[in-house]
Amino acid sequence: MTTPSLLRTPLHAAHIAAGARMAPFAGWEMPLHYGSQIDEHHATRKACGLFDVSHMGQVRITGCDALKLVQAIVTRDVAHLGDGRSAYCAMCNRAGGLLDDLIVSRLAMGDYLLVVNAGTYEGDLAQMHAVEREFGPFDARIDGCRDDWAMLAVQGPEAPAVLARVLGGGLDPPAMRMISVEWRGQAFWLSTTGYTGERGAELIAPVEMARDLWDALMAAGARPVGLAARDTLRLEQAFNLSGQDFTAQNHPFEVRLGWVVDLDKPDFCGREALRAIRAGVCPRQQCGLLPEGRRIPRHGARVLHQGKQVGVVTSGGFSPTLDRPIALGLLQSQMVKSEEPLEIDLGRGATVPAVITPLPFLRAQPL
Amino acid sequence: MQPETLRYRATHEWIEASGAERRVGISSFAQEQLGDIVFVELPTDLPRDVAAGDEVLVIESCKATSSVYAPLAGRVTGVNQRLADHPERVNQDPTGEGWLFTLEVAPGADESELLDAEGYRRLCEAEG
Repeated sequence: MTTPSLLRTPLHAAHIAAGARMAPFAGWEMPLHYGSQIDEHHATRKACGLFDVSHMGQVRITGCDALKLVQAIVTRDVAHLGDGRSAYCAMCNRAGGLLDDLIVSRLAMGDYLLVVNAGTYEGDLAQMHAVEREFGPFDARIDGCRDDWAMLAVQGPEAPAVLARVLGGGLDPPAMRMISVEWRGQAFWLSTTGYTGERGAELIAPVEMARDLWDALMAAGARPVGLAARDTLRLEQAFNLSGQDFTAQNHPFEVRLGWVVDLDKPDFCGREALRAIRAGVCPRQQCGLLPEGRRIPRHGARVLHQGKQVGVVTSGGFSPTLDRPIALGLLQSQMVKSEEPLEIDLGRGATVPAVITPLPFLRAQPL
Repeated sequence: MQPETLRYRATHEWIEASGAERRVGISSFAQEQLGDIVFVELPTDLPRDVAAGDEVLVIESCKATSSVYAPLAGRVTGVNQRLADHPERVNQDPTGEGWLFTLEVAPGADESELLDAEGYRRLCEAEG
């Protein structure tokens, strides 16, 4: 048997130089941590973290009908998006099952950039082409352009200052903007988005710029942060992880994504199914769980009520900020409303009591 | 403790090579694989008789939950109480300050399965 070769980002050598422990993730060889994921987590919450997120997938949709096509693909109404504005969106299949979450940005009229998850990139592209065929014809084209772009996230309370040091001052747009920036004579995109709940930006830059940008951001005081801390940072904010907190077996309403479903906008893939789901009862609901003690429930752990399974942990981990374990669970809706005692099955006969808690676990600085 | 003088189990525990009551911990290789350790669930029902391979305690790292097994048959007589507040010691000094428990090795316990430092190094290289 041969191991399929892992993809490498343009920053691979930079990670090795920084002492990264590399690990496979969604077909990519990515930095897991650079020594201590807890230190990296705190550095992002207190100062400024630098993440290589070049594994994320970029898709460009251009043409006269670009907006119409994007509208058919995503569940959220993006008609209002002006130039340089971004929106968090979801895309569903015909049954209303969640295929992915993504950021849609309007670069210009008839020119949209979609950033999707690494593990779903190929499937998302196939879905976009399928929607194009089903809902079209459209005068628009879909270009998967992941290989053209590197992506660096600069996140934390000091991120604006770090970015200003590298890119020049006066550059602190509000959240959910996408602006074109020039650096050393080359243009790239600066998007005020992220996956940590902190201030900062994601830089979408041509592959050949990646290393210079990385080095400049490091020199300006950002600290490299691996995927392991990225996961605990997003979990504290209760941001869903595609493929883990939801799959195509889930619909947006049960994982707190109803706010990105606009049933009254022009037709889109999954609308009829989502309309029916919305009209009915939602049997399951995502919620936050605080387990007692310091054992950590992991993805897939069963949630029990009086010994009977009433849900499952979709993400569980240690929160460095709260210094305790936290978990996202998908539970029977009546359990979420009741204050019945719950337990989480840790395996090998060990269970731990858990209580439901409001989300997010943490309220960080608003973007 | 000098890692060179210890004996190792294939599941990445180390044990002191001699003595009636011996310290047990996890190897440097193991702590590195686990990453940041945030909790060591220390057993309270001591002393406890164990067979070789019995689970003695559980370590929670950010990355994973791992069991630590008895490297030999015997009696678990004590635990490193300082880990209750400082589980990170296992990362910082796995074969020293980060020891986990003491094992009173059963008379005639079969030590032939244990590896010396060189044998253990080869095992780690094979596991990558």
